[in-house]
Amino acid sequence: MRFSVQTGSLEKLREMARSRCDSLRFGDEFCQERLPDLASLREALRIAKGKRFVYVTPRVSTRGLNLIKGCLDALQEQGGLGVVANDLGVLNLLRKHRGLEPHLGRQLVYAPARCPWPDIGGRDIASSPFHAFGVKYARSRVRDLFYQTNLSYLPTLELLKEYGVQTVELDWIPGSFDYYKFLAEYGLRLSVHSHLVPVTVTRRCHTARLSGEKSPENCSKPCEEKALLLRHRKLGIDLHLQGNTVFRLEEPTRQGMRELEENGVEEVVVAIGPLTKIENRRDLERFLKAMS
Amino acid sequence: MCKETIRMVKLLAPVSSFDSAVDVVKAGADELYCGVRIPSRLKYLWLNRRPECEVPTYEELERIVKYAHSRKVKVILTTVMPFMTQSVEGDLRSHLRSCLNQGVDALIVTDLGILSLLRRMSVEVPLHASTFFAAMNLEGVEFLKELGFKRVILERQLTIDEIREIVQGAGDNVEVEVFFHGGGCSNYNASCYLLHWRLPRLAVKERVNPCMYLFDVYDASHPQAGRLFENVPVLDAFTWCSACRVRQLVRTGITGFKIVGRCLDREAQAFATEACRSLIDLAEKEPKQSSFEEKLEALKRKIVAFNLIKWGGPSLCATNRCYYSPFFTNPYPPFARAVEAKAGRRR
Repeated sequence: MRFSVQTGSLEKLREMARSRCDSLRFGDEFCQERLPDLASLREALRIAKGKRFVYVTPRVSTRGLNLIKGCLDALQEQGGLGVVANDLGVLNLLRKHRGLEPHLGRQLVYAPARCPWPDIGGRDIASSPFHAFGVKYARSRVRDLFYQTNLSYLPTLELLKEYGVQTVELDWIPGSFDYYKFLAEYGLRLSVHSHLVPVTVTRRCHTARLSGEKSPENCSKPCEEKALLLRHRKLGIDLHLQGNTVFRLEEPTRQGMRELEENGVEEVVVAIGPLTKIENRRDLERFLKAMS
Repeated sequence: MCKETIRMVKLLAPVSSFDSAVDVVKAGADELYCGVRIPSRLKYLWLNRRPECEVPTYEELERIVKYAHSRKVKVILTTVMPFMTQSVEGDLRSHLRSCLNQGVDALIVTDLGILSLLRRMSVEVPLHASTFFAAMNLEGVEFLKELGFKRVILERQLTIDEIREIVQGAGDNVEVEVFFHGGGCSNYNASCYLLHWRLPRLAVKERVNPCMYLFDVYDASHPQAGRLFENVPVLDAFTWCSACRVRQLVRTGITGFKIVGRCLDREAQAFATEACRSLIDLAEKEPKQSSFEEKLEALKRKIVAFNLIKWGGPSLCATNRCYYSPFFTNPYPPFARAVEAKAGRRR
């Protein structure tokens, strides 16, 4: 299993470049305001020399896309680098940058099991029009669908292949691991993000509002340092807000690592930040040791 | 200087039954859209809304289509499932075939897999790209156009200028549609897994969507240090509105407005359609933004009164939630006060 480290901070990238990780990822998956500019990207490339490099992009409006265009041109000169696309426009752009390897980002993969509510159980089904004795049957009928993604369909994979997609980004959701095998057998390379399962991405950034930010262009990016824990008194489920994204936490385990390997996953991605509690090189080394 | 383009803007309204279709057509809709409850095991797996939000049977869909066509109104079917797997192909194929047999005029497609299935079925009706594709830039619209979509519904996260740029760049071969008002959702549809129908019992009792819950907020690194905020609507889901911007939107060259609300009741669907029709007519007629806004006031009062009687809460400008405006300008007033108070205490 290879390990990749993901961050939007040059300082962290520099620190992690000295770690045992196999590849470095630079950029942001969810927020276009956190996209690095061209100068930072060039610096990141320099730092990552000797390791595999992946540029991570979020869903973007025209403003963000224009910034990405410039960055892709610069990356193409280097060749052989990966680019995570979480936007159809970026995926389309990548067709014009043949030397780069498109990764299908998590926002382009629909995965119902990212849902934070408990697994489909008797209670849910019982509140549906189906009475109690049908519960077991109903559960067995949908459980396998719930844990699949929209990539569990051959024609979708064929269509994505036309757009050059060779790598797919997935979540650490143990109930879904078995379904990843289908994708690996099709010939896709799979990267699984540990710890953070994105539950929802908000159109307007709650962290920015909470922090009193006034405009996106001048955002001081409080999310780089801080995350919030959202606790509902009766629900008993903790959600985590970082920037414009609400996550639920899935703690990775060695058993999970083994299952991923058995199902053909080649890479685990670790995000650096307060939610994963991997904030420096020492934390990362400890994590790598625990998972190896 | 920005080029102004005005086309005849179509109004696309939601329906969930024959009766609501009759009301909505009378209220001035140019097109109707609806989903139909999918039989088979897929009925257990409603991902983005409750089954009650959809037309219950194919027979009822047929009645809706006949009625709408007799009044020269088109019926657009949404494919409902935002994803597709190998194991549901048969069920979905038969569902879509049954809907198409009732004479629907177009399909709103929510997933690339469903698009692939429709291609294999050699479907001839126009295909519309759902907001589940989250098109937010011209490259994205070009991508969808190339896949064969005739209409693209844009994400709500855009400014008027960004919409104009997309519409002008997309040209005449693809229609661009935007949302009119939002039914209490602050999240990208394509990335939201707060699946309402699957909520635990508690939430069902509370009768609100999960993003309307009141949360206690802690610093994630030091939760033991105590709450930062108590009982706040941090996920901020309340109805959004584009009323003041309709005139500007009409002049970007968009071809249609879509109203959210398949889960609304019949009365609310008809009222929303009537209000939107009046707004569009006013927007097309008024040469100046100032005169539009002046005349808008009377209509706003009517909408506020309806919402107050129906739901008892504040609406429109009182909630300070504008679509198509710059990014951070809409703090929800009660929450904003809590934030300010906190900041004051820190100072």
